[in-house]
Amino acid sequence: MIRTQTSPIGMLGRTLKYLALALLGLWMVLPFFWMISASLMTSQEIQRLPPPFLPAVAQFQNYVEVAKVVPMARAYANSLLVTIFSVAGILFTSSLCGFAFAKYQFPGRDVIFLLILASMMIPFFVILIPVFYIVKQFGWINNYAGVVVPGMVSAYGIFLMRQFIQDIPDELLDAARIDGASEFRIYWQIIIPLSGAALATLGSFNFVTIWNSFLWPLLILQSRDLWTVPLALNSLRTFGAEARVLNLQMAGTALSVIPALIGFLFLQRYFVRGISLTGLKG
Amino acid sequence: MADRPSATSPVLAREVARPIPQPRSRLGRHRALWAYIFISPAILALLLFALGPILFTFWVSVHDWNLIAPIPDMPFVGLENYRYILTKDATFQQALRNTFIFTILGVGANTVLGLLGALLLNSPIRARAIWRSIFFLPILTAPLALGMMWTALLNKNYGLVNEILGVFHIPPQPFLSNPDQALPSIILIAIYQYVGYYIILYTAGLQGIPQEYYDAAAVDGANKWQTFWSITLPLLRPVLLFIIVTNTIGALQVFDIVFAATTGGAETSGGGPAGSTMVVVLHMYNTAFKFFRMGRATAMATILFAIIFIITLIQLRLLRQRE
Amino acid sequence: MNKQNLFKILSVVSMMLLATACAGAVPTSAPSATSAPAATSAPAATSAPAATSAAAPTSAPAAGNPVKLVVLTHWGEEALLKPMQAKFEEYQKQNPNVTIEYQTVTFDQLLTKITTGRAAGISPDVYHFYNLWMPDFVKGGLLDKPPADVLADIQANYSEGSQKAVTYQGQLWGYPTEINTWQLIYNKKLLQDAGITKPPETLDELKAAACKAKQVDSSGKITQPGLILLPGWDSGVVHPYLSLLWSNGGEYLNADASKALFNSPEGLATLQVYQDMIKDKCIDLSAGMDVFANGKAAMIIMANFWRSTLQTAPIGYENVAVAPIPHGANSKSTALQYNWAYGVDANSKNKEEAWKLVKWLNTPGTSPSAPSGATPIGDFLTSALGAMPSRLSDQKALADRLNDDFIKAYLASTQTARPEPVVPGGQEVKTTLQTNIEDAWFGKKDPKTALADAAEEADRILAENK
Repeated sequence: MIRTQTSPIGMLGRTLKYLALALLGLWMVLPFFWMISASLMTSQEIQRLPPPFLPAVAQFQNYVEVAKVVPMARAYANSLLVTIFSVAGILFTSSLCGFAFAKYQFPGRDVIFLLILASMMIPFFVILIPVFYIVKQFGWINNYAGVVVPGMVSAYGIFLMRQFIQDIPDELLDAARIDGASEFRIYWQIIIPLSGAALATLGSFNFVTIWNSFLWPLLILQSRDLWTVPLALNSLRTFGAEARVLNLQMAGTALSVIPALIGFLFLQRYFVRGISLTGLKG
Repeated sequence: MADRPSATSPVLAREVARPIPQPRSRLGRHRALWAYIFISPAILALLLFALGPILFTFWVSVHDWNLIAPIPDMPFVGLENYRYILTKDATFQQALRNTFIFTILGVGANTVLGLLGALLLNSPIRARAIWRSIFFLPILTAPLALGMMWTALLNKNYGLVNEILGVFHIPPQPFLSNPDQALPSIILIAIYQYVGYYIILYTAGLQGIPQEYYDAAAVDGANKWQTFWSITLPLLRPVLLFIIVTNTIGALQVFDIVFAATTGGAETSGGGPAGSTMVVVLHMYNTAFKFFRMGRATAMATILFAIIFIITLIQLRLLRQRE
Repeated sequence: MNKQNLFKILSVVSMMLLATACAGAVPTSAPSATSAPAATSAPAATSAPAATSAAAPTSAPAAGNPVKLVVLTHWGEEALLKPMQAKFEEYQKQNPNVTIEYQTVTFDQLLTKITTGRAAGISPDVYHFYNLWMPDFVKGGLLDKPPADVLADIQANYSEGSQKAVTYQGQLWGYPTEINTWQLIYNKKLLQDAGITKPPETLDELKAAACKAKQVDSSGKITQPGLILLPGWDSGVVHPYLSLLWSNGGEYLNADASKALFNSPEGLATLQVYQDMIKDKCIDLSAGMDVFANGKAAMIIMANFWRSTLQTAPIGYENVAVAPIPHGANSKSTALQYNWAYGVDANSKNKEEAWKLVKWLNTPGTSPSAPSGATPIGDFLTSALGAMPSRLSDQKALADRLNDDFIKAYLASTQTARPEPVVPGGQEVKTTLQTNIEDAWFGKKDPKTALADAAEEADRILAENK
């Protein structure tokens, strides 16, 4: 029996599916909703127990106040610069390396790959001091380079791209080689286009992580006019009275989330079925 | 069990049988050279900013360093740090236990739930892009907001979760403020925070499976279950491996979520009531930056590194792609 | 073909850039590269000249030479940054050859910043540090010994407790700035409603008051705790406990900090006070500070820095009152205090100018914008931070800012307050005491075992760190 869209079982299945999606979706949206709601509360409301679900009166001026107290425009510019360069670097190096590990045989391949994985096995703050020392030797303290360059290569990204590229059939590569394409061209014209979903995923995750990163930029970017958004927002906090300014912090966080969300929506078109074998003509 | 599609799909059969040129041949050497060129910038950067510093960490672990004294002045203490951690540090042992529980439950849950969610998202539904963006939202929301939100939701006296439980006549649970419930609560928060992430990863993986394979299977008369086991799951293997390995590596080093939920950012040392949510990396952080014992902290990092390395090797071996 | 060439070029160019960065970095960072190895021998090399420059300013830059000083504090919030910056601007006006670069980070990142900067050889000249960090700072050679005139000033103008707070190995290491103590804060209305006319003065009264003011509903849920505890926060657990312990005739560590003394009858009795309240449901371990701030709990033992939160909290500031730490039968109420201090880096190239700045910050009358007789730091602490200054003359000169009942009570306690002991390993001992007390609170260990375990751990830590 073939299930059609209109048969009773088919419709029940679809309804259940949408119900599950809706519940799941609601669950996912909750913290975002809470953040927005908190950002519109007064200082008193945010400290109250039981915590109110919605503000009595939406305090849109919180957003204005945040922008006044914190140099948001400048911070945004800094964050965009650092994040875009880092993400571009990660996408490029990860896909190139992932390609090499997935589709090439060379001596030491597995050992080197294991070493790359090993670099993920130590928490960052443990190697903070030696990395800081090295960055300082390059003269990159208080400089965008000090944040971008160490962040341009991601072992995680290399691993991800390797796994995704493995699924690309070798035939495509061989067909291209027979046609006389160089290895780099294969990378650029075959691997990249077919890795749309993987690159979009890697790009969006890294965008968010780097955008939100705090500790390393805090140590490197010492001048206030180099501060990224999390650093700028942090100047709202008052030690010993954090609860009081939580509403402003949430407003600041909401503001900082917008680019990542827009970027993600924009990248949606790359989350498409990457490969179609019917196009196998060489 | 239906036959594997390889018998009927020439494409798949050819792919499996294709030999990769060996490095010995001229063609192989040429290709190998390109591979080295491709990986060299990344390797250079990793050596400089990760692997080198990790070696430095191992070296510090056999010294006594309070982070303030100049590095060449550090006294050498041999394996004393390791001996202390493994035999005398009760907090470390508790932290290790908590970390393992967190990892096993968290990774297991996220791996399975993520896949289920992705299958749901991948089936024919409308407005897929919108749904995908919704699942992305928890990832966007900064850890601070999430930590605050969950602390409020799980509050024993005023939290929403207890309100809901009250409707079912369940007495209010202390969750994060009770030593027995704190760790499970943290695990739930972690699953919540990251499941969307894994759904998206799986989704990308599912996109990479050519439609032709599914069509071939349909032609062969395979039903949904058979298709899943024979086509989807095997072809998801690379992604599955990635998810399990990186999830485990990350879970064994869990820090941010415990820090946000149990310290609130103040000068607390965290670790929940009676140390019930103390995890290895948090203890490491305290040992380094509160107790000024970097030698001991790096020894802890080395031990954790060894544990993670061995587990990863085992996972790679068990789950590797059949060549 | 074009794209391929383009990318080949790009990758070559980026490799070249990386290479030039490596090569180019060598000459530019050479001075700093040498200062890193210099930092290794620096503590020995520069501490000798420091001793001489304190006596005779020979190597100090003459009044005309431009000097740059870097100051690091954790007062990064906007509301605190600007006033402090203003003070530095005043100093720069009075001393035109000096440029001050003011760096701030959040409190939890302060130590990370100090240690990474130190390892890389780029440390600030002036630090604002937490006194509990002194043993490790001194052992590592980070702090410079203050010159004689600074020492004399501190000895003359600060309470014994504050002096002790910045003393280690018999040496004072900086100017105490912010002083914080712990006291009993209570909700006036809730105590009144429970028929309690005055705040508890003794430990027994504390128990009685907490249990009288608590409210438990029919299902056994504690709807209004009598006393709030702060598990999960080391200072939140240990500082109140130590205050109560001292007020009960007990001791924390022995005189030379080689042995823990809290595993004593007094120590146990003090812990038992908590245990009794927990058993009788006068304390709800799940209720945190915010419950008190919402006016739903009767009492809490907290420090004065919480004042700014209480001023805008739902409890209503007028409903908040402060009382001394409850004491035992034959003892006096003693609060625990801790201080922050301004000090100078031992590796600073401008030690004399740095001490000059620090002294200026802590000398009455130097700042035109400060009230008469107040120091710049005192002005800052009482206006921007709402905190208490350690300097006795400041406490008098700024009395009109320290005149609400809340802060007056804390100020009074500073006269008899005892500092948290500043010893190597002190933080570790504190954490093990915290963990064991929490184990007792949550019923994981009985109080006797908890204290015995904590003392044993503490003794070992102290011995190791000697």
